Amino acid sequence: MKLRALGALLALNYGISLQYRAQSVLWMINGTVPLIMMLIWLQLAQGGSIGAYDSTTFAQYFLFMFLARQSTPTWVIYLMDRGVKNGELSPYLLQPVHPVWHYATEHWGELMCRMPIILPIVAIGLAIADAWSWPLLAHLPAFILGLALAWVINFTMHLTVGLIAFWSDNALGYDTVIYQLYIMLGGMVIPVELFPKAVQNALAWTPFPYVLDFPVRVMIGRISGIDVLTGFGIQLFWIAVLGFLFAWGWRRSLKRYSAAGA
Amino acid sequence: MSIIHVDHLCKDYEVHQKEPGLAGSLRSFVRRKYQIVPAVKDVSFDIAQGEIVGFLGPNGAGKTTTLKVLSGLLYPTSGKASVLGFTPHERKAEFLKSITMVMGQKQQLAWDMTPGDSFLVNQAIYDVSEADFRQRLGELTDMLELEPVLKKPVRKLSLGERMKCELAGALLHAPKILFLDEPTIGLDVNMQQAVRRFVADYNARTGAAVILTSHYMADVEALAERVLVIDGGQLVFDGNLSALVAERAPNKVLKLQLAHPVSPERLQVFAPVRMLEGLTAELLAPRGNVAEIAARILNDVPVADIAIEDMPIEEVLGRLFQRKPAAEAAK
Repeated sequence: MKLRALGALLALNYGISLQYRAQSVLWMINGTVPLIMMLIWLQLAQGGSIGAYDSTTFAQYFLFMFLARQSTPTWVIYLMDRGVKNGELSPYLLQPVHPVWHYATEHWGELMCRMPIILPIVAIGLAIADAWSWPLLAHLPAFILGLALAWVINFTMHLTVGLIAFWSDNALGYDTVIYQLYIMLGGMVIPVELFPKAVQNALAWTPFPYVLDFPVRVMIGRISGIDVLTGFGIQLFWIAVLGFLFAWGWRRSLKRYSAAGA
Repeated sequence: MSIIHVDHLCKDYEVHQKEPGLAGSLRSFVRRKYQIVPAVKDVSFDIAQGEIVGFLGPNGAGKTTTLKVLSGLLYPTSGKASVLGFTPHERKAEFLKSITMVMGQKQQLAWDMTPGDSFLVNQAIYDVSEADFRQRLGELTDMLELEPVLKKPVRKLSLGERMKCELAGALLHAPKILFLDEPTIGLDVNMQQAVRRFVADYNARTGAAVILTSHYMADVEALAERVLVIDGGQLVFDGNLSALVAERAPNKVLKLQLAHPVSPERLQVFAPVRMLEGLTAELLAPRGNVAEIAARILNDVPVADIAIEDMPIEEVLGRLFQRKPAAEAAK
C-alpha cells in the first residue's frame, strides 16, 4: 500500500465524515459511558479511596478512558456484513489495494472529525475536576503510542470476527458480544485494577485490557518503567496474533464470497 | 492472440433454502438447509485482444457469474480461467491494474462526494501519473460530456450522469480489458446510445477488449461482432450475430405494405402469417425459397412495398431460451 493511495483514501473518507457532522456528534454521545461512570465512581469515592484510586485518580482515569473510547471505536463488522451481504465489497475487491485500507481510512476519517470536539471536552473535564497535573504531560507520547496500538488491536479483532459474514447470514450479533466484552473487560465500567486479583490475572490473557485500560493507566501514571514496555510488547503480540488470524481467515473466506447484488 | 482463456469453467453457489412463513422461519432457525446451485457449467472459450464480445442469455443464465470469475471477484468451483496470463481470483495488483469492471447495478463512486473526488482516489490507487491523469480525464470529460457534473455530489446526479461518471472513473487507469455488466440498464435511449458510442470509440482508440452483458439487444447489436450465448449455465452458441440468426432462425421475415386490405387466408397460401394489421403484414418465409415466395406475392397480391429481413435478434433469442426448458422437461 503506497502512502499516496493511503493519503487519497484518508482525504476522501475525512471529506465524507465532514459531510455528516451531526452523525459524528450523535455517535460521540453513544460513547459517553466513561463520563457517566466517572460521576458514579466520584460519588463512591467521597467516603475515601477505593483501592489505590481516590477521586482525582477516578476523574483522570475516566476522562482519559473517554478519550480512549472515542479513539478506538470500530464498526467494521457492520461494514463487512453489509459488504458481503449486498455485494458492496465487490468494488473494493476490484481495486489493487486491500479492502482493509478502505475500512481503516473510513475510521481514521471519522476520528479526525471527532478529535477537535473530544479533546476540548477532556481538557475542560480535567479542569473542572481539578485533576490535571503537568507531570502527566510526560506520559503523553507513551499514551498516544498505546492508543494507536489499542486501535489496531480492536480493529483487527473486529476484522477477524467480521469474517463470519462470509460464513453466516448475519455477523452483526457478534459485534454486540465483542462490544459488551470491550466495555466490561476493558475498564470502561470498573478500572481493571479494582477487579479481584484472580479476575485481573485471567483478563491479562485477553486483549481487552490492552485496548482501553492499559493506555489509560500509562497516561495517569499507574503503569511506568519496564511495565510500559512490557505492555507495548503484549499489544504487539495481540496485533500479530489477530493479524495472522485475519490473514489466514480472509484467504479462506473470500472463496465463499458470492458478489451478490449485481 | 488470446488474452482470455476459459477452460471447462464451473461455478456453483451454496444457497440457503427456506419455506415461506413463520413455520418455515422456525424450521430454518433450528436446521438450515442449503442447496448447491450450479450457475456456470463447463464453459470454455477464448477472447482475443481488441475484441468486443457480448454475453447473451436470460436472467440467471450465468453471464454475470462468468464475468465475476474473470474479474477475480469469484473463485471458480472447477475449471480454469486465465486473463492476461493471470489467474483472476489471485487478484494480483498487476492484474487488477489491467482490468476494469463497470456494474450497472452497483455504484463504485463515493456516494456523498463528487465524481472528481473519487477520480483522485483512483488516480492514487492505480498509481496514475499527474500528466496521464490530466490527459485521460480531459479526454473522458470531452467524450462523455462530464464537465457540468464533475463538481456535483454523486447522490445528486441522474442515473445517466452517474453511469457516465462510473465509466470515466473505471477507465482512468487505461485498462486493457473492460468487463461491462449491464452498463446501460435504466438509461434512456439517448443515454444508451451515448454509452454505446463511447464504448465503441474507446475500443477503437485503445484496442482494449470489451466483454459486455446487457439485456438491451441494441447494445449487443451495436457493439459486439461476436456473441457468447449462455443458457442454464452452459455455452450454447459462440460466433457472430448473423451466424446466430442464420443458425437459430430458419425463416426470414417478409414485410409487406399492402395497397388494399387482404384477408389472412389469402396470405396464408404463400407462407405462415406472423402479423396482419390494416395494410401491414409480416410472413415467415423459409430462408431457402424466400425470393420465390416474394415473387409469387408480388404477382398475386396488391403490394405497395416489400422488404425481406432477418428475424429480430430478440425474437431469435426469446425462442431459443423458451425452447430449452421444454426440451429439458421432455427428457
